[in-house]
Amino acid sequence: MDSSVRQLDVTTVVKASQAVSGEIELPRLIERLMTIALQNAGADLGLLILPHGDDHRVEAEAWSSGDEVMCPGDRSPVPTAPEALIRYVIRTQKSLILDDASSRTCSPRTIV
Amino acid sequence: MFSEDDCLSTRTTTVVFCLPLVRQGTFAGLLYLENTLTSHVFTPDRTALLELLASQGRSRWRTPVSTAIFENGGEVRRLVDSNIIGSSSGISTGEIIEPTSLPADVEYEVKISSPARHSAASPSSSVNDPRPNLTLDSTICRKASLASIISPSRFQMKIPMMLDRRAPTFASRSSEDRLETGVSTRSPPVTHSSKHHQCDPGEDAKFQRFSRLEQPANGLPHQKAERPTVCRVLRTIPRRTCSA
Repeated sequence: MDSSVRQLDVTTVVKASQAVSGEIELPRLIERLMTIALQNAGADLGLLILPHGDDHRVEAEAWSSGDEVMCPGDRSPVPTAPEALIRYVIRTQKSLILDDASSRTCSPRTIV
Repeated sequence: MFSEDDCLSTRTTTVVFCLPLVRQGTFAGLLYLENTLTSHVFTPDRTALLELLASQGRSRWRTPVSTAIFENGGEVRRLVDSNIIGSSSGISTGEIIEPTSLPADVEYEVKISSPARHSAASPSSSVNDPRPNLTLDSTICRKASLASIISPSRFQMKIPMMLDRRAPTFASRSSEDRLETGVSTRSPPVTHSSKHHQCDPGEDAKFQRFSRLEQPANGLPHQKAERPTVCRVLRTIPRRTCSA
């Protein structure tokens, strides 16, 4: 992470950090975080999964629609997520990137 | 590796980024991102920002606080009501002040402190520093920073006091507190004075009564704080901007 952090744009970091710290209410904070996450990572679907007792639940869902990022506050129907992958990350607690998830030959790229 | 998962095989998901939110070694959440249009979009420089944000949001995600502190007024009440300051503690000023008796046009300086940690401090360290162990939770720090901390080292912050006077729940709660903590019900009226009650740092650790902040006296038994965290009004500051 040290080498990648050096490449960060300070303006982006400060902006994102301010956006996060400026929110007090949790739902809006999550919405803001999801928006920032999708915008900065270039994703078109984002799920925030939080532990709920012994299980895990999708707390927030966000998807990009055109130029906007939609993040409905209410609990929408839980979208399907690759459970095996998610449990793998929960167990290993390491970031995981699949550059081509549907490919059988692809090996996960983990970053600590 | 995970291509046999039903979700990935049926969908045209190409790129997946899974970021665990780990807080103090325990799993606090997980951020799952995917992109179905292009591959190799999750470059290290993009994910680095997310990891940074994840580390920031971890404390918030771990302790979901549904009530905002400074939403529409009644800030101190919400501060006290929130789980972070103490789920059921009143404004512990020694004498628990009725919220209805707090003048609305006064700025209050509120200190968050942790008597439990303070009592665990070694005597030598408490000699050097009157409040050696007044470290705040990261969550509290976030809250405090939101409340525009004026002196982070002393964990004081100014809160414009706009207390909701129609707050029966808080009034009943503070009376319960009074019963639990055994504090006398003699609550001195909070003077809407222009005096600045200077607070000796040595007194801070002892949780002296609010009235004694006005008239410092020695040798009086200090109220023992029973709650893990309390929030108390240190002094009243007359609001400079005089509204009509």
